[in-house]
Amino acid sequence: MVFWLSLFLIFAGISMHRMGPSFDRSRFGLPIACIGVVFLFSPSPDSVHPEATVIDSMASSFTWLVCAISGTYLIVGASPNYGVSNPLSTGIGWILVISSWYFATPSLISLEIDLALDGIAGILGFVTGLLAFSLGIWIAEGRSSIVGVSKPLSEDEVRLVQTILVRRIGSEMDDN
Amino acid sequence: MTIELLPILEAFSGGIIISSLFFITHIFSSINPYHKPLFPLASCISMIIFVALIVSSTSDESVITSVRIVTSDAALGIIALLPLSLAILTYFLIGQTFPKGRSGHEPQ
Repeated sequence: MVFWLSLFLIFAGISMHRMGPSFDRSRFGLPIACIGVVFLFSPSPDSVHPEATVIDSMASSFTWLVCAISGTYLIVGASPNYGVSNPLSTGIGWILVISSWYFATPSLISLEIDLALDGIAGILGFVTGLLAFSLGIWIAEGRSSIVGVSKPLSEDEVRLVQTILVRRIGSEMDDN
Repeated sequence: MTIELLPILEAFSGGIIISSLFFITHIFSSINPYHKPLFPLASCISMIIFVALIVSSTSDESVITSVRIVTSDAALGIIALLPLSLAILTYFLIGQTFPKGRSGHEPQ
């Protein structure tokens, strides 16, 4: 039961976190996911069968996963695409990613064919579930109608838009 | 060497259950006034019920235990293959670190 509760907390935390800053609950996403991870690895009397092997497998992957995730955050956050590049963060990030390769390689080398086939089948099953979910969204979107037409801009709003456009486009035209 | 089909089908079923559980949790935790959750929720629940019935019919265990076993099998397989995703991740991170086609000046 604890395994499923922790899985629920991790899933819910990820979903809340991905909602973005316009929803207040998004700030609770990461803490909830972290509580789920703590629950997952905490000793529990009922995690004997069959989830115990999954928890063991997750525990053995924990080191390289943490290295890969934290390294990715550092590299992406310090990349020139998202502002000023930061070579120190990029360097530390790459050290973490290479470390994750170091920790993950033994489990890759000892990968059994039966387990790999189970993994491929599991991923295909996951994609099938995703397709069913997408089908549900497609049907829901197809049945929805336009709620209404928004009102035209008021005098103040028109003036505000004009000011913004003149400031942005006007200054660029002056530069040219 | 022979490859048995039943464990593969069980892992496939487990994958469907994992994704359906994930999306049901996602629907409830990200519910908002603009959501239309009825059809996505119905499709996920019907997938779980359908798979649970199939899985329990191939096993002597109860429905709940069968679902737990196939879900664990699928999760084990996916976790075993996760290190392969490091190769894809590394490829994208190289692209982030050394972006192509940049003229050298930052956007304003």
